[in-house]
Amino acid sequence: MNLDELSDAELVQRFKSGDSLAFDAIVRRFQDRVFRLASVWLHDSQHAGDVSQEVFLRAFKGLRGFRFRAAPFTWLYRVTRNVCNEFNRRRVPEALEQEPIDYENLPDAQVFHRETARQVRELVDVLPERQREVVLLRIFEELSVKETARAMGCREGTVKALLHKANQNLRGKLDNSGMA
Amino acid sequence: MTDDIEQLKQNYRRIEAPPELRARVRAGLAKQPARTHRWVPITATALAAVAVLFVAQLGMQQSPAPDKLPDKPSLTALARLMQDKPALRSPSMSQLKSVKAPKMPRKPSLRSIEPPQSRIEGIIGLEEENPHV
Repeated sequence: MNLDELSDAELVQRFKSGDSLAFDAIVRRFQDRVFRLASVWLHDSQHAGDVSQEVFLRAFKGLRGFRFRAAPFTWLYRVTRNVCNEFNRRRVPEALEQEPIDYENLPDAQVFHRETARQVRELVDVLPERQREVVLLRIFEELSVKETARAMGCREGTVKALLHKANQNLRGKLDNSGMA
Repeated sequence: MTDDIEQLKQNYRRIEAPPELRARVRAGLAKQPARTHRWVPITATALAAVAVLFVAQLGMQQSPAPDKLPDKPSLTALARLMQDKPALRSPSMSQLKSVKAPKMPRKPSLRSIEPPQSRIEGIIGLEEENPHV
């Protein structure tokens, strides 16, 4: 059976059973999401690659004891958040962050990545942390209310309330249907 | 959702991890020392075995519980035991008096002892209060 056809939980179960190829499939499946989230959570998105690597190294150890109390991506998201927070705490926000990014010497993909991440960060930085989190997960990552609540460790009603407040803070820019 | 947010969202979802990320993860895993958890059950078994041996040894050191209580000695046997042992005679008064106790040392006079110098400065009157310290 093709590993890519398995569900997230089945893939993790395969990995726990000792299938080393399953971990490669896990990285392949989640690397874009982890990388995107890291790009936005980090003060400096150029380190998103380092953070993503660290997330998967921790996942290799941590998923062995995974108990499936939450979805695998929920767990990965929390690891990503923690690693980003550690990284941000270690690194003082440098003056470089204020300077415009020099795109001339970067490949197009990197230009696109860093500029988009910068714009998303600019948008959500006006929000308090919890509202920022709910906007990233619910709106940008398109998780369901239930999945967002699980990832944030709160109730679904809290997710809706946070989204409503975020919408107000962003002056109605978000779709109201996202709160349903 | 406003158009600009929608567009931003689409751009965000098009962000991809760099192609070399998987290779970096593999390289990072290769650097980590191989950790197995096989030592856990082995260690647990060894510890359990040591604990069992220890408890067994303790049990063997203690006197084994007799299956049968020893017979109580008869009165005759007790009486014979007493006869076998010589009775100890208590010493007489003359014997006690003959034992000479060593002489007590002479009581020292107060004048011959110099009061020790106080090591703690600033305490006034300590030497006067307790010259024998």
